[in-house]
Amino acid sequence: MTKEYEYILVGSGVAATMLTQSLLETTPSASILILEAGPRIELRDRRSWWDLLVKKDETPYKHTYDVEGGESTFTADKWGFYESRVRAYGGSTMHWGGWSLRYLPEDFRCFTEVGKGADWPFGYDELEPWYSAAEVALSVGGVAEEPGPPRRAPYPLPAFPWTAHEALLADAFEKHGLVPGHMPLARNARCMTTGTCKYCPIGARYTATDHLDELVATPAHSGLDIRTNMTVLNVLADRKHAYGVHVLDGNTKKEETLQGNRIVICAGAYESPKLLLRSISPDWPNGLGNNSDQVGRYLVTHTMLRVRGEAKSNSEGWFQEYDFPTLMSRSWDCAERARAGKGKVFLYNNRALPHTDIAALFIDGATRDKVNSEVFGAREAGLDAFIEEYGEPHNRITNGTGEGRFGLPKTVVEFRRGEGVNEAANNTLDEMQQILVRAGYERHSDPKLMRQIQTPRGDHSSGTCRMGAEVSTSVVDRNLCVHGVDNLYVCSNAVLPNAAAVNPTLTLAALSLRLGAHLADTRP
Amino acid sequence: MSDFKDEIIGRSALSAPDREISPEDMSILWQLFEHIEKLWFPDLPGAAMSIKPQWLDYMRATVTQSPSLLGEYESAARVFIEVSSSSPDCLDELMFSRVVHEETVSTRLDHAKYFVLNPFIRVFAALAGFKAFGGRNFNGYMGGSRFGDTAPVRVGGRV
Repeated sequence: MTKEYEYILVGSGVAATMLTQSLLETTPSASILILEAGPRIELRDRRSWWDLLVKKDETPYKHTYDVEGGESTFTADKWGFYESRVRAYGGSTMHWGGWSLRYLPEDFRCFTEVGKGADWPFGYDELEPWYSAAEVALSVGGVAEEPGPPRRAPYPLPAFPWTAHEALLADAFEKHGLVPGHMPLARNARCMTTGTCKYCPIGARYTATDHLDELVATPAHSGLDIRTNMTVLNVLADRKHAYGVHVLDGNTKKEETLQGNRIVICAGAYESPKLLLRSISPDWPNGLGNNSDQVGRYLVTHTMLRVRGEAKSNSEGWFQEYDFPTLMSRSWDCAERARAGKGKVFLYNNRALPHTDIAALFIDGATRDKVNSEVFGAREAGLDAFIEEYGEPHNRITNGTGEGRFGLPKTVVEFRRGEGVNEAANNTLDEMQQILVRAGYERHSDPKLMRQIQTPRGDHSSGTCRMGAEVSTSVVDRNLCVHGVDNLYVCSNAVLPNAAAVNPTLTLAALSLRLGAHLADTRP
Repeated sequence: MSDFKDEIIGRSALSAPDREISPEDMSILWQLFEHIEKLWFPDLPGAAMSIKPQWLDYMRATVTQSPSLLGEYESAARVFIEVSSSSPDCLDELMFSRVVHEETVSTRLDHAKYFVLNPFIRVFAALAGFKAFGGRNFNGYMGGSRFGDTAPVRVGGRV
């Protein structure tokens, strides 16, 4: 007889992990099956770490990235896929930067405040306790006293100090009327600032991989089962009830059906809607939960803005000594600015500048004198920012024809940048350049590097299974339950009604913990 | 008879024989690593020795885990012996300052630079060499905890 799981979770990233933790806290023996389409990739493997160091950007999860133009295509504006998500056990936490920012209360009232996007079906106060719990789970360090969303608990860990160069930029922020702050970062107390955060040698940066391993290793969690290389082909459901998933076992190349009482799709902003759209049945001819044709729509991401400046001398010999920025500002992250057409913007230091690749110079035959002149000669600095975009129904994710990696259907993105975004972005770039001037930098001599509005990318994509009260304009309700299906949930960036201006992971982690509590409270 | 170092062997990394690296070859490779300090970092005396445990870890990882670089290490050791005996005054120029990129790898001398010395230079720069330029931390270096008395990075007037 086929085993029936209490919960089947599709995907193994931060959402599935936080949800699992929450469910097991209430019921340690809960029967939970996690299905991951990608492989397991070992963490803290010495060879992989050395390869990252000596062959720049060589990570052991590189092969899980989307192949641009092959398995992932766009039909409107150019869209970047490569390096934007990891398809492996632990999901994109394998490569994330750990930036852990809360949305602002006004972000939960986006449409009311700005007249674009959508309001959440509940407010910031309802999520606030879960934000605190998520910060503990992710080991976030920050400065609670700095301006930002209200909080009832301190950060679990202190922030990392600004570098000397960031202190210089912080002064320039203030001269420009901005309040500088410390980036909240998910690095536990073991962090030794090794600077190879893409593949931490000591497990100091949060990964869902480690977190899930800990949960599995706990003897009381006898019902937790995680299977990798398992691609969910479709969700099986009748008119109001999901009862299982049809999967392709990549290890045996055989298909099988797995039964579950509650099914939660934790597969990111791409795969979550794609799975619903291909789960077609007589009761759901347009895809599961898609009777209102909302699944896959309202795709948003963050457009990254980038400026660089140059100084004639680097007499201090500064180079970036962390692998993350610790300086940021949320002064431009306000609805008032968005209403004025200037965009809601999150500003931070370019994590890689100033920089001299000392080893590359020696490798290319430079003398020590030549390297000295490079290090202490001209200096580059940069500022980056995210600008919020708003969900539009024509911006959409769908399944492509044919199969991509891991047995997943190909991905098609249709995205057109919103009206007014380019103008707001250009105005913001002007201001960012002014800040660099205040810090002593001249405009960069290379016009391509001087200011950039980067191609929209999948990294922070969200909104494709929008949360809302109305069936006609959303896919899931306030408890992340798919409208019309009483035991099917989506728990991923896909449910976010708006992107805000900051990284979405902490908000997703908080939502996942909140969903876990809801499912425990309503356990049959 | 042509020199061993000039033998054209193509761009791909040499296959690794099924044996352990010999103590003699390890000793030669350590000399090569130490030479980076002598050549470019005379202001950091003892720096190579101070990071020998990490270098040994690198060597262990690259010969015991796939793809093994043992074939490259054995070849580079022979190239070093040959260059040291035939043109000792040209050692720096021939082996260290030589510019070899992926697309120009051809001879055993090229292989020694590209597959062995270039990574050695990266390891040295990341774990010790950066300090010669005043840095406290660098990508790859264990800069330290945020909880220590001294910040893991150079800080300014405000932190």
